[in-house]
Amino acid sequence: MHKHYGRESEFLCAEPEGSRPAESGGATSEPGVWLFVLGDMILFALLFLSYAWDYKDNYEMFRSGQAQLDQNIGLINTLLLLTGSMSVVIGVGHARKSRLRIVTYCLIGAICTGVLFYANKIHEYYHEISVGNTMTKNMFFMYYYTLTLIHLLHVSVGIGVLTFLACRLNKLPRDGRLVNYIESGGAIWHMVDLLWIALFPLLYLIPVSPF
Amino acid sequence: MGITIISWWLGHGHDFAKFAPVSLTTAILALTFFKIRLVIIHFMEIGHAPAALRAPFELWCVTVCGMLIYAFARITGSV
Repeated sequence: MHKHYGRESEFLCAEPEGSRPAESGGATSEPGVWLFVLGDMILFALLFLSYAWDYKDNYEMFRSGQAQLDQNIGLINTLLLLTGSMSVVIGVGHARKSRLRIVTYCLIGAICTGVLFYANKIHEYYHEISVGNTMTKNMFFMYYYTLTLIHLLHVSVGIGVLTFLACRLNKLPRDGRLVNYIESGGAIWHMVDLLWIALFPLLYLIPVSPF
Repeated sequence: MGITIISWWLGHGHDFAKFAPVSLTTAILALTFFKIRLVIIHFMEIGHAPAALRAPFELWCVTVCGMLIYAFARITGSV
């Protein structure tokens, strides 16, 4: 096995010139990935602002809906995605040093946090639906399900990308492109994480009630 | 992770009677977007990226955070 990874190291060291432009810094140099990430962030920003605006006009409804959500589940999900992001960051670092086996472990770690996030969310949906809080109940729950389901779709895409990378790591081209692929997968995963970082306080924590 | 715990603690209904709700809400939003910026700069490694790539992310953080603080200040009756 060591010999195998040693050979991969040689391939990665023999990175074609110009495959990773120096001016891109550490960030992935795939413009398509950044367009996708920024486009999604703008879409979510519009949804966040729409939610905040409707909150003002339907204060009591949003307030009582929010009070029925379990903040601890939101907190656990935030910590899970942050752990997954950290795992991807470590994986990218090892990819640059050609330690592909550790990269695989890091990707699997991030996938596990995504699956746990998924399980936690399904558990939360099951609880909310069982007490009658369905999407059609009121505007708050319409926002709650829309925002979290769109985000869950992104989690699915993120898990899919990371699973693809983990499974195909040894079959990907052995040059600078491999690091680019890992960085691109990482950027998508970090976007999933940062969108949830914003969703958690919006849906579960704020505005803080007057005392 | 520490910032997440602090945000959860602030929004969890502890006894912060001496602080106005708008201050606590603004503090949670500011901490949230500070954390998002940390993810963008350090995890996505945008901190070392060219200005043309970094600028839209910085603009996104400032604009969305500012507009949400304004929108929630309207809710808590401060604007």
